[in-house]
Amino acid sequence: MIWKYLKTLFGRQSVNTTKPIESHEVCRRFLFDGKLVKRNQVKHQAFAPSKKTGNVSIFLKDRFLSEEDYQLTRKTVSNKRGRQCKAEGEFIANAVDKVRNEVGYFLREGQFVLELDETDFPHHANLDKWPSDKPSQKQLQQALAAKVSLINL
Amino acid sequence: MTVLALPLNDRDYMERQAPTLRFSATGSLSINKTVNNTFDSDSQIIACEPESLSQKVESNVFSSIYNLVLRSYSELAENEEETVQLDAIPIFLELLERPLFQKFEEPDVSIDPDGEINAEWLGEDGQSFTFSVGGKGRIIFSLYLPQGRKLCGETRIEDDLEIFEDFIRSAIG
Repeated sequence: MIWKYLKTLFGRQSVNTTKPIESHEVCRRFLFDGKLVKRNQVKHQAFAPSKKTGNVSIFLKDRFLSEEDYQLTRKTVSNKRGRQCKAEGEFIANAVDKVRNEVGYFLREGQFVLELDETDFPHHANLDKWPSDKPSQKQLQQALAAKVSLINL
Repeated sequence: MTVLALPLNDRDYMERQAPTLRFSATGSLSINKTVNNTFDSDSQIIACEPESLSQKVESNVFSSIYNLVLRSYSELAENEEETVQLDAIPIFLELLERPLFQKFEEPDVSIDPDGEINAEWLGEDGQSFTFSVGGKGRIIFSLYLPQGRKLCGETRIEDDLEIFEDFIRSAIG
């Protein structure tokens, strides 16, 4: 147990956490509600910004040093939420740019961006700075959901 | 009359927005109409009359909403998300009773993070059409076809719903 902790601790230190998110990075969204999935497709509401934080929480899968580290983080997040992670939605970081180009004509500079936020967890990012009007939010969510692959757990 | 008694949703409702209908592909179109609020936002009891609903809506959609409401109060509240806007229930059911929606398959019904009730039809390869209804009659709708049309907008239950339905007909055919 101690070894696992030290390994995680030193592993984290060896990673440059300020490294900007690159377009090819794999992003994973934890899905805690089975109703967010239908016919092996992730529904748009999986990417609805949280009422509490105003953003969508994402993990950068390939930045974890091992699958074990990733699963440990998922378990920690699940415990914090008090709900089991039912599935994951996976997309490549540049999908955010594709969505912006596809349907985001209404976005202002700096809106709808993927930003690193490792305040609570390493290798964590937020899909942040959403437009305030709900129709635009829905359209962005639908366009992103269409580019997401379902990962069954 | 069947009365469905539910916990009080005592959250302050969002400020009413001007009744507008906006199509993303064709620019903005404002509709100015008198807004009549027919529902009391502080009501603790939502009254529905199942005999006025079709059997399909009564048996399936109504029970789906009821279960979502119960779940909303037990789970969403724990996660500090919004609970369902109760006054949206009769408006949502009224919309689904309109003849246009009788031609469609039953939608997936869910609760948005802001408490609005959402209906969604999910097609193949990311195609989706969705609308959500708020407690004060706001209707948000959005169509996304990866290889086709991408439209979204907002209207109100008090507005001429023919415009909303025309949008659906033109979008979905």
